[in-house]
Formats: sequence, C-alpha cells, structure tokens
Amino acid sequence: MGIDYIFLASLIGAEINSQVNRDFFKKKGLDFENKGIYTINLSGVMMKMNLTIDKHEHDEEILVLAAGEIDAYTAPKLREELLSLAEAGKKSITVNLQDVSYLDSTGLGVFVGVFKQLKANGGELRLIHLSDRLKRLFEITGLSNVMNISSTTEEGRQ
Amino acid sequence: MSRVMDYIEMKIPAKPEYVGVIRLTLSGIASRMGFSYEEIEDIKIAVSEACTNAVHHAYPNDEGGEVIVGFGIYEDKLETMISDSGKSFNFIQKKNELGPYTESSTVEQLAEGGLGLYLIETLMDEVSVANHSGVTVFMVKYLSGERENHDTTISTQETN
Repeated sequence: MGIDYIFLASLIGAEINSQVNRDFFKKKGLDFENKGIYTINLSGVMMKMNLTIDKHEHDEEILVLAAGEIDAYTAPKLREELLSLAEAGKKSITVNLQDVSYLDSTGLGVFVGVFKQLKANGGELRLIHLSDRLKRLFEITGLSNVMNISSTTEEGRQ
Repeated sequence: MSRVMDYIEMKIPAKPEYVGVIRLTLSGIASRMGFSYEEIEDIKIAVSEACTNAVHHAYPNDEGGEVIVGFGIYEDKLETMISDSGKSFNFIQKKNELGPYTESSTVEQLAEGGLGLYLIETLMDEVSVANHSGVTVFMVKYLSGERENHDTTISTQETN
C-alpha cells in the first residue's frame, strides 16, 4: 500500500496532462480541470497539494470554498483573501472546508485572526462541512468552544 | 530497546513550500510501516508543525538556510528528527506561553500563532527538544498497541 501511494503520487505529479492518466482517473470520478500536484491519500481520495479559493457573494454574506492543503505555504494566501473580504465590509463569511485535505496550526491561526476581525465589527465567521479529522483539530485546540463550526456528520444528522 | 532498522534523511531549503514535500515523504514511510490512516494524519501534522517552526523561527530574514529531517524506522516505532542550524528559540518557554483555548477564553485572548507546539505534544507519543546552535526536535510515534502511555511530555536538553 505504501509503495502504491508513492508511485501514484509521483506519477500524477509528473504526468498530470497525459490523456491516459486523465481517462484513468475520470473513470474513478476524478477530474483534473485545474493543473497542479495531486496526491492520493490512503483512502484512495484524490487531494490537491495546493490550495484553491473560490468565492460566491450574496450582498453582505459570502461563501468561500477552500480546497486543498492549508499549511505554512498556503495559509498566507487564505489569510489575505479572507481579511480583504472582512476589510471590504463583509459581515458574515462562511468557509466551506469540505475539500480541505490538510490543516494545521497555520490554518487555525488564519481562522482565529479572521474570526477576531469579524467579531470586532459585529460580524461572524462560520466554518462548515468539517471532516472528522478537521473537527478533531478544532476540539483538541479548544477552538470548537469558541468558534462557530459544523461538521459533515452533524449536518447529515439534521 | 529496539534497534534502528532503517534511516532516511532529507535536507530541504528553509522555505514553506517544501513542508508539503516532507509530508508526502512521511506519508509514504509511515504507511510502509503499517501506521493507520488516523495515525499518519497525526504524524503529518506534528512533523509539519516542527518544520514550520524551523522555517519561520530559524530563518526570519530569509537567509536561505536548510532544515534537516531524519526518519528513524524501527520495528515498533517511527522516530522523527527535525533540525535547523539557524537561530535557536526557547521551545519550552514558547510552549508554556501557549496551549489550548478554553471556554473562558475571551476573543481578545485568542492568540493567532503558536498552537503548533501544543499540537506536536498532543499528537505524538514522545517529544524532546535540544537547543544547541539551532533547535532539534525529536518525536516518536509508536505503532498501535506498542505505546505504554498516552501522556506526552516534552523534555529538554541544553547542549552548549
């Protein structure tokens, strides 16, 4: 299993544009519209190594879709995007973390910063569709007591 | 004491873009050893946190340093060493300044950085830190069922 993982990761990194590989993964329901380095985790789920951020605006509310890994490299980009939204007067920011495959303290730091910024202006930060992994991180650090988060599992139960 | 079966070492530029590369390698090594998905995700976070610290604290002025990451592969455990040769910082003092947020934390009290050290301590079985000309963080994760207790404490060694 370990060997498969390394092999696939390097294969995808090197030949993301090869039609054969595209077709192979398309059959598995995976599509590569965006170029980048992809890896496969041990559950066989395709993950982006970088971070993409999509925004959908509705008046004062905004939904942000984050996909990929949030780490020391990508966190500054996320911070910049979210803080610029807060500074532009957005009161309520909702971040969908469904496709975030990795998160560490750098990402938690970004959310804490944005949370504080919005709170100071009477706004709100909501984090939705957290995987069990991500939810656990918020619980370990105590952030789940302070911030408005909801996991995929809880939402499914409602 | 179990003997080292294999040792793998990587040297990366002290830049944030290479932390993900260490994670990728680590995933391969840990899955080869038989760690579970959950355990691998935990080790990935702990090792990334140590690498991030090395990148951010050791080379604040972008002086182009290096970070060395060593993986000691044992029958029953994975030992990881993250070392920088740059400016050292007081790991224990930093650790004591930070910790989990509590329900009584006010918004103003929420620090935006530094949870990394707390996560390392929480997610790994053993952690020790040596402060010499730089900082070296050793951390151990046992394969399921091999660990003796779940409480991790950080010990420190000063060598000068």
